[in-house]
Amino acid sequence: MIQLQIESITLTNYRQYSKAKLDFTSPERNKFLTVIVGESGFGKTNILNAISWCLYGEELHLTGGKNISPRDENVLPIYNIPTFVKARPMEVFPVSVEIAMNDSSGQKWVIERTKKFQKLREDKAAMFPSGSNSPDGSSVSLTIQKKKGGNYEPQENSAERIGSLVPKALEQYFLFDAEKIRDYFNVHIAAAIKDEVNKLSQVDTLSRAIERLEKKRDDFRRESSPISASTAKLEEDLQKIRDSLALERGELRNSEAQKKACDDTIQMIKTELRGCTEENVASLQKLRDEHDEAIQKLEDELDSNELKKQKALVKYAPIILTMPAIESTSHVIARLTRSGELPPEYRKSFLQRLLQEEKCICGEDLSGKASSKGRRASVQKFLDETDELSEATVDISRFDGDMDRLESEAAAFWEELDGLGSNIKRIETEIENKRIKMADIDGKLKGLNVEKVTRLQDRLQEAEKAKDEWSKKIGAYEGRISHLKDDESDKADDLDNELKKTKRGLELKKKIDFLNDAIEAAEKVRDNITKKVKGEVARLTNENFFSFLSKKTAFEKVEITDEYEVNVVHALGWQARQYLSTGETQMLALAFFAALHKVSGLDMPIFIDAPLARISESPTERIVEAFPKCFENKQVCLLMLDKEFRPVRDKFLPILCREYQILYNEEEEGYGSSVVTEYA
Amino acid sequence: MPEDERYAIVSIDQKHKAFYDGLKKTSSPLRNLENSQIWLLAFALGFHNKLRAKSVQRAPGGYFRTEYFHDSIPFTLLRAVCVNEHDGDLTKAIDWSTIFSTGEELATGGTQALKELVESHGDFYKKLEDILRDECKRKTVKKK
Repeated sequence: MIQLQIESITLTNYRQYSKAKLDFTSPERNKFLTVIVGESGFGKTNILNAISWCLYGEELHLTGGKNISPRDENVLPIYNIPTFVKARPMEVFPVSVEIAMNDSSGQKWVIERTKKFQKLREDKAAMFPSGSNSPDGSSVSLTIQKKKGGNYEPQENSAERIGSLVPKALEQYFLFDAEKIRDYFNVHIAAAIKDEVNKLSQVDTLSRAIERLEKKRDDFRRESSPISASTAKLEEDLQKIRDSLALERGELRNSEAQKKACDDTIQMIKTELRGCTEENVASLQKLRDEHDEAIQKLEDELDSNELKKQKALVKYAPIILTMPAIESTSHVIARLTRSGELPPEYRKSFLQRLLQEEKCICGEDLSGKASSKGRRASVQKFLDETDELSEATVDISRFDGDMDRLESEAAAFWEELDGLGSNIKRIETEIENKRIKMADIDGKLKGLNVEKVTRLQDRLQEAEKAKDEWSKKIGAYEGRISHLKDDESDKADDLDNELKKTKRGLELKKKIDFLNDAIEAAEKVRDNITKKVKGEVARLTNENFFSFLSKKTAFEKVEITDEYEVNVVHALGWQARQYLSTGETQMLALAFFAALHKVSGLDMPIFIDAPLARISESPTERIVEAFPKCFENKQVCLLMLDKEFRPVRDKFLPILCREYQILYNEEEEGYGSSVVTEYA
Repeated sequence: MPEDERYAIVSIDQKHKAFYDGLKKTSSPLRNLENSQIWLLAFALGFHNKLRAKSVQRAPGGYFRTEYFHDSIPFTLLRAVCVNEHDGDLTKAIDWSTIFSTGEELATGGTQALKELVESHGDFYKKLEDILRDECKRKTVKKK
């Protein structure tokens, strides 16, 4: 966790500032806000530029949006013009920015960047010493000093030290230009945000570890090739399958992105159609949407019925096909029952016991000696005529009952199947009818001869057609990927089996298996962390955004994709980020920015330029009220116009530690200096 | 009848193993079915088409355990068919060894019919439904 507090910033001859010092120390912990007020052009944004120039040698917040080369002589120079004008010929004057800060352990640091200039003539100054646009920047000095005891000691490797204290990659998270919000949500920035959040949450460390493990595993796999011709061939085949899988996955991702683009286009066109002032157009479009939604529901119902039908067929097919055997076996049991053979008079085991004990249950002797010979012979005859079935009469009875039930269920099956078949037919007919109605509406909309509507309808149909095409392609890619995964699994099994045949192969297999397990475990951890971090960012962004909004019911939620694209979902389900007002977009950016700060653990001071520009009064009040919660325990500095700050100043008072005002003194026509004073 | 006599490991012929394994692939219409369900279909088709064949070599490890039948219906079918295949000898209804061996022979014979059903042109479930309807019609005509 990076923790930093800025104590002061001192500007000397930097742009509008001949000399200015801003103190950021706070007398109380709960007062963390500094506000710097100034009119347009007085130098508010140049305070951000001063910080980035001091730390990284670049002014990253120039209005033109790019870092202008110091060698470009046609642009406004970095030095203060009044200082330059007042300097004598050949006089050397410095431009410097000094930042005093504390790190998380309370250690104090002072960073200062100085660039010297020499006035060559009335209209020109050059860096000093002359000719020193040298690679080693000898006209520019960067120092970092660490406080030890009562003194500050210079440190070596200034740039690296500064990079470890305040990494340049994180600059946009603490020097935030709210005027550039539209750029904030473009894909490039989203990808950059994703990278940075991954770095902050150490996910990229895990990713690098996973890459190293995969490389090691692949090295072991390659070692398996020379073991035998079979393993070499299998390894080659496996690699081919994997290469094909990678290709297909790439195509799938592309198709999914294209399909999403079609979806976005469709939503946009539908929104435009709905917004048409022609009443009949709007109501026709609404009707079309209703039919479309109904078709989707019907298609789901159709799938469900077809699945039920399949399950019924699988369950009852064995019963129906073996019904002849069931009926004939039932007849056998019925016949034996009618003839008295079932249930048998005596159980076999009972008769065996009588003969064994040589005594009947009535007490008569059954030993077979003398008079009992005949009796024993009779019992023996009964025994010979009785089969194993006599022991299983209960089971046979149950079996017979089961067969009766199956005969009834088979009859009920046809009713169920016919019912499902009717449902399916009905649903298919309904879908067809709705499609006809939609086609009719499309025809009517086109026939209205409203140029814009016709154009939109054409585009809508094209987009829907394109979406269908991409859906089909996605299905095909998914099918191919599924087959390839099956092939990959089969081939990997074959390779494993082949490796097991040799000792060396077995060793390699163990290593490969171990690495696979390690990769899987690391990927699971990474996925969990990423999911948690993204989930938390989304939750906080939602919380912040809805605390800022006035028309809360217009939107349902803010979503953040896996690629860190921020989407806003309208209450009726449409994607609405592109249609937010400038003020709403600014609120969303602030909400997202605050969420990233909190989740990333990035406890760096935050400077926000023009945070409330373009935001109307009541959202401004809500944002101000939400500020302490969004940015609690962070050092925050806001750069604002007076007309933005004055109405909300009272609301900021509980958290306000310092207020500054930038005033501009025009000394001569065409130039002046800014001075920083206490706010009045 | 002790419950545990019904519990056995049922096997398939080794030569059919590749086909049965292939039924689990995502392109198969039977991919979501359990082994016991697939086997029952093969067994029923074997009985229906009067195809009975001994396994040349049983696939090692077995195909499924009879404990995995969802209910008692498969046991009832196996017993009824076994009695029928042994000329109505009801004593076979309690001879579980013969019941399972007869079942395996019919499933081995029925595997070819199942294979044709899966691999031939058309929707598998539609073809299966047609077979069942034909069977029902045949029974109705026979009764008349």
